[in-house]
Amino acid sequence: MLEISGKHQDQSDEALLQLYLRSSNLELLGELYARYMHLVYGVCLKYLENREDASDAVMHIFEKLISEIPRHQVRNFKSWLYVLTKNHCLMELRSRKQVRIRRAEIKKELEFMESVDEMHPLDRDDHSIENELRECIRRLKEEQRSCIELFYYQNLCYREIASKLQMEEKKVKSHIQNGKRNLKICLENSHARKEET
Amino acid sequence: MPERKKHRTINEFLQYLKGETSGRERHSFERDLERDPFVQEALEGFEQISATEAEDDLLSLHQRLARRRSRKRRITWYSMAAAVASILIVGTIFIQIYDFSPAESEQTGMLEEAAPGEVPAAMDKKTVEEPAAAGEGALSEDMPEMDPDTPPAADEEPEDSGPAPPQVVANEATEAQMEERKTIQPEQAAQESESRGAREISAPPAAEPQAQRDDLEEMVVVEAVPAPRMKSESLGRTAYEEITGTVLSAEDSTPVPGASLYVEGERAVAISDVEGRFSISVTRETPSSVTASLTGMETEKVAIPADEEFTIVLRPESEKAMDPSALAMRKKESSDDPDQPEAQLRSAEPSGGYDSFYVYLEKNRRSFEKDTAVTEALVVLRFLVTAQGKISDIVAAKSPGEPYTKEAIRLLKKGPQWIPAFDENGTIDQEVTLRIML
Repeated sequence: MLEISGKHQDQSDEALLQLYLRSSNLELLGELYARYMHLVYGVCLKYLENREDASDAVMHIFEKLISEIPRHQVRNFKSWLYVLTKNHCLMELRSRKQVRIRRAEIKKELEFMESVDEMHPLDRDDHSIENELRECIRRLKEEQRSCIELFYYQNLCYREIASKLQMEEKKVKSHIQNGKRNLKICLENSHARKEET
Repeated sequence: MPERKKHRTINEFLQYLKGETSGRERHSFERDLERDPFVQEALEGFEQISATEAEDDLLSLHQRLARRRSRKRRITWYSMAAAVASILIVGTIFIQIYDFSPAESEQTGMLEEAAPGEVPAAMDKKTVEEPAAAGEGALSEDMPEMDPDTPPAADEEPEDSGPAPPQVVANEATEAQMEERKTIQPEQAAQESESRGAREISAPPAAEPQAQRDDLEEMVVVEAVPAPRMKSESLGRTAYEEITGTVLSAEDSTPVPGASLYVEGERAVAISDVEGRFSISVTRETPSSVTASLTGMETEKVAIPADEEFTIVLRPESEKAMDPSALAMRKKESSDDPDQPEAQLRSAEPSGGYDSFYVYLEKNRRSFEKDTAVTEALVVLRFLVTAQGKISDIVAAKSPGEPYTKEAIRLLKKGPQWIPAFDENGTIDQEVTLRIML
């Protein structure tokens, strides 16, 4: 079993990042990167679709990190790294197929991505809008509703839901995804209506 | 919002992939997944390979990273100061092993700088245990790169008051911090045996505002630790008071880390931590105000209220006073603002966002034989996304030729669902222009 631990385990990402910025000691940045390397690798696998390219990309991204970090004010390292990773993968895909998509478009996407940080009401811990949420859940399509209820209210895992509802795990995930999206629209609409009155 | 999520370790991740976890553990992992697109996408990637492959790959990646991390070490051995530092450390080891009493004065002389009292014991143990420490010492010679951003407080520190701050930290030091001390120490020994290291590694970071640089050179940097942990008797002089507080942003009341705080007439400077908290020791009995500053924010001088804990709110600086980089950042942030008043409106977009839509296009587009007549196969489609999320009225506003148009339309139709635009009254029809490169 893989055991990765650093000297600064107790330090938050931000604290470790600051230590690095003060010292330029690559060991520190490496330790910080190691915390999320598996995620970076996973995302690279998703986009690049093969192990070798994904592994190389993980190392390239580390190099990119070294050069980019001092130039940005990184507030949340993890989400910043996420954007950097996706950015890298998309560029890679583009250069691979030798398709030129205008830089401006890529830029726009990235800014867009950075702003979608907001968490879905279902995933938040506060339940201030629980009633509205329930109301909207009731209006969902049958499959989406049962998946969301089993997952968020009965605390079952995807696998358990899949066997309970006799469907593939993949289906469960997409029902949850789509259900969440519909819920968001429903909630936003009901908010808008409230503000009007 | 700033609630700290514990990040999932690689092991938890692998266990999940291998299915070695119970239903409840799986559920809790999946809840995190739903919250965090980073984890979610990573998992989608891992689903393409087996768990054993994943483990192998991650292991070899960690080895590659470890090699990369330490590459600099060898190069920096050339540095003169590094050599001096390593000789000092080797000397210490030698002394420790053979316990030469004549050398004792030299040894303590060196250690004193880092830590008084019981600390040397801990340090000795370390030094003997891992001679690799010499390598770490060398690492601190990456310093030339670091200097521009670090207040060279230590080097120019003119007189007294020196020993205090390092002692404070050394006494409090955790294991991890000790390691850091060790790293920085030879450098200190080498280049500043007189002025003792006010450059404290655990003191906060390079985020000090330009405006404060000059002042900082004259100041001792102390770590902004919570008040109870600061032992005033370990300071070289008596601290009368501990001022603690929080720095918040005026825009959204979120904590502001990295702001410098100082009290006029006092040497100590504190820097707010990740949660915006700071604490400064002052020697005068009644300091009246604390000044906070940060690049891009208005410097704020705030009277200290009677009760100890207080809040400083920083407003963004007016644009003309900002340096270009801060200005650029701010511009970017404020470009989101025009959306604010009409937050009820949302444009139509592909489900999953444009980002994954482009990935879809990349993965599914058919390759065309490169036609010399066509240098840039750009197709611009204009179409309607109805309130029901259906696509209709597709028009090619621009296309190099019929096959390209057909391919673009095929991709659009076979692609992800579209989420209709909506305004305050619900979903609406909206015309969308889409550029597709083929």
